[in-house]
Amino acid sequence: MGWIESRDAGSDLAGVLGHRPELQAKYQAFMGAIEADEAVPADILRLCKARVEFVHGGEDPKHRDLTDAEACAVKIADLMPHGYHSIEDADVTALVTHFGERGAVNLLTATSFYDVSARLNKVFEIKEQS
Amino acid sequence: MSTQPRIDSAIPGEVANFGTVTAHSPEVIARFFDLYAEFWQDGEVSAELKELTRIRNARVTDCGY
Repeated sequence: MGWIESRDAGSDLAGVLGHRPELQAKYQAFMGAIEADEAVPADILRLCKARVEFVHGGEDPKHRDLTDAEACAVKIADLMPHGYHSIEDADVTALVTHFGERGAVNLLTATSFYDVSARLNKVFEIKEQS
Repeated sequence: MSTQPRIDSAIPGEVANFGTVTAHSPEVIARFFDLYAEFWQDGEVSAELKELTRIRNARVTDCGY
């Protein structure tokens, strides 16, 4: 049970945002666009989302050995919640090398909003549905 | 923390800023601006209070933008 009741059947963040239906719709469209974009593989985005949630106290995703592309993406995910000032030029250059400029923009945007979502989940006292 | 844009502008001839750099991912950023505009639209919280929290958040997070 969260502090703010969901407007939908579910109890996730989107349900709470249902108190502002237009905001809910645009939040879902935005997050959907992130996941629909193919510049970064979907499994890498899922990896980053799990990692950001772990930094915020979620379950340890227990990664297998990571490829170079996965490792540079996970580094960004690890730093985004509390260490964004420690993201170095070389970290972004590595993203561009692996994913291109479009992919780097998409991954940085995705991880920053996974952080937003994780923070909102904590503040609203709700659990993200997987 | 870098003082130079780390990703070039996606729009030839334009300086790198939030809008021109994120333009590399046009569909995602279009949906972001839709969301951000909606956030500033009507609701129970005034635009003045939202702006105050935005500025405060930028200060706390040491955002130089």
